[in-house]
Amino acid sequence: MIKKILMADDEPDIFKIVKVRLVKQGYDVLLADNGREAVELAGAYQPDLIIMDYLMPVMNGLEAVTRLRNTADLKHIPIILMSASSNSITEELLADSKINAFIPKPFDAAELMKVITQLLK
Amino acid sequence: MNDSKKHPVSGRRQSVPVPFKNILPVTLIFLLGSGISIGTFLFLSAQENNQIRAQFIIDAKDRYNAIKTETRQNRNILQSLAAFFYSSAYVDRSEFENFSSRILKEQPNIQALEWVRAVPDQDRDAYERRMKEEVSPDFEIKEIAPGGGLIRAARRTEYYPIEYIEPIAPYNTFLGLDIGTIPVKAQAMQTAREQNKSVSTPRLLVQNDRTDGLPFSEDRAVRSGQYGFMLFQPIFKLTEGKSPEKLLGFVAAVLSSKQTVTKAMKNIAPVGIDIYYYDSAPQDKYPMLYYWPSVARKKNDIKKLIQYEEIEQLGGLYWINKIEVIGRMRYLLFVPTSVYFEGKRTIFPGLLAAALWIITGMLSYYFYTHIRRTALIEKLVEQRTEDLKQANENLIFEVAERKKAEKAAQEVAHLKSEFASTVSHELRTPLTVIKGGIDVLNDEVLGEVNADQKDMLGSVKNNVDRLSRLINDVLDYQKLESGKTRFAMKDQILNTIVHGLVQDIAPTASKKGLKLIREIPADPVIVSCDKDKIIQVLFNLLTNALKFTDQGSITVRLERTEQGSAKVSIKDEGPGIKEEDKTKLFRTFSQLESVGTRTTGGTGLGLSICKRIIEGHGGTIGVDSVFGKGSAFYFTLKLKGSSA
Repeated sequence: MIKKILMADDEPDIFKIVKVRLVKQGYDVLLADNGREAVELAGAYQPDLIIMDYLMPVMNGLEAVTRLRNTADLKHIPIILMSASSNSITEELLADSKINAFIPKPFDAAELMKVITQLLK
Repeated sequence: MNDSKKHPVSGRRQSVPVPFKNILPVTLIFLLGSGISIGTFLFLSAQENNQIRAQFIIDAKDRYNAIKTETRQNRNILQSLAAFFYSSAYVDRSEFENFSSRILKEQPNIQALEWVRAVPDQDRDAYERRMKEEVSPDFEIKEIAPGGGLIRAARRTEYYPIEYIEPIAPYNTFLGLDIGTIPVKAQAMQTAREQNKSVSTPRLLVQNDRTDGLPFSEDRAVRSGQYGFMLFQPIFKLTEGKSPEKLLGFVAAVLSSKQTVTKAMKNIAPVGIDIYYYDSAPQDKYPMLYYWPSVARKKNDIKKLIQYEEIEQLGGLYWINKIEVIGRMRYLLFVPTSVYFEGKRTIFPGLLAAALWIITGMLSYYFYTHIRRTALIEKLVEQRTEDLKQANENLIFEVAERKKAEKAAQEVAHLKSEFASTVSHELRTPLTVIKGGIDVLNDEVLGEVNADQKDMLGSVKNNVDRLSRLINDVLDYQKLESGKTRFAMKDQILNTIVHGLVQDIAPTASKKGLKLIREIPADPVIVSCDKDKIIQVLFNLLTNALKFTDQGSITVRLERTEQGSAKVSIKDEGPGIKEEDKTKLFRTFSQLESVGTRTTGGTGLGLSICKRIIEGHGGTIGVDSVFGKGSAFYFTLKLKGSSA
């Protein structure tokens, strides 16, 4: 069964370089342009993993993560927070297990693929 | 605060206007006090004046009585002379002289005593003959010539020649003078004869020794005491059982007013009272007999004489009383001189008034200064309050300003970190795409890449990584610098951390052909630290050591120091560091030129970030190095449980 990955990022170029690897690995990938779209698509698409950007228009990553974790049928989906800004908030989220991993941008492709593989096991 | 608003307590001599309502009570006190002082003075003066008046009347009466006694004595003398004549059938010249001279010696106020015989015209020749024998050959009854001088008396029914006179000198020329030819004397003799009693003439010039050559002046005559009067006592021939008796003559006394008063005053202590002696004849006139200036009076103090008519207009203190001198009313006026008051008027009323006034003044001054000080204090308080208000306002303003500044600073700091994170975010996003894209190509995700392309992509990748590290370092440094970095302090076993890191770099070291030596004790060295941050430091130092060492070994050592710290040192066999460069090492963006390793891809921030992390932990960081032989970077952290 093909694993589905939802990626929320307002930068289509970033989505492109991630998607090209994930598709090669055989995953089904969907893009959400912001946090709200990510929450909505998560319900409809039922992904196996979510890669969430932090700074996004309309709804940011933090808000989206909180919504997802408060939704019964979505709270189990592992989330990788991938952000160009690292701050105390991301550290807290990680500490509270609201997110499963944090990958700083610019990301190391090998590390990202390793984390994804682990979380989808 | 503005300088002009400061009000030093001392050194200020500012005049403060005292409000009128505050001055008013002081003014009232002063006026009241002054009034009381004046009133006291007037009251005491009046009291004193009354006492002086009473005393003056007593003093005047004393003098009056003395003079009265004297005049009474004059009358007694005349009467004793009369008795002398009555007691013997005939008084001869020597008997008269003896008797009279004795009296005159005792009574200097009597100028002369006379015996005036009454001679009928038919006896004139016989009388003149007898007297020529008794007195002198040229004796005759004389009268005063109209042009002055004495001439033989004209014929008339009766003559009244002076038969005896004492003292003889200088009056002997008057012997034989018919005093009946002198109207005032004749008048007195007439009355005396008719009433058979002593009678006084009106005022007469009794001393006429005008040797000064000046024309006659009544004023001078009064002052020099030339006025007086005569007393006549008739002597009758006593015939048993028969009356009317035959007139034999008159005994007469010439009295000097001056001498009378002077004699009376001789035994009375002078107190400064002037005496005026007035006659009361003829008719309603009151000619002045004598003016007796007080002995106490100053010599040159000649004042205008007070005429009897002027007495009523006399202000001030005086006392007047009539005195009867042998049937004639005379008047004595007593007037105090300034000398009289000198002894009587005390300075007491003035002194008391002055004292009261001074007290008033002092009281007023005291109240005034009190009020003035109160006003001053009020003003001061007002000013201080104003100052305080001003200071308070300033303070409030300052606090507000400071808060504003603080807020601005916070905003700036916030903006700064915001800016830093935004910038780093904005830098990282395109960098992510670049790096990701290169990685995709390099990893041949999109198809095969030939060797030259791969080499080129490798260079690009290296520099993208370097840029990425630089951004991370700048952000790290900025966070450390702004104090925003919070260290997650936990107890950590340093042995494990060091082991792990050495493990991580081991492949790189072996790739360069470097020997990695670990000197790590077996027992755990525990410190409280932020693990990630210490790993960052350690990684940095190890990376540097690998970077700068081309051959030989790198020794990583963990030990406990005598000062109770854990010390981690990384010793390389690189080029080493010159002494003068050691301090530059930990500076921001500092890479040593001498090493020539810019190409090794450092950011120049590594060691300054390490320094800040270690110092943030309360530890030390440093380097021991011998140039050309290698360096040993180390850091220390306080051991867990060590108090040092």
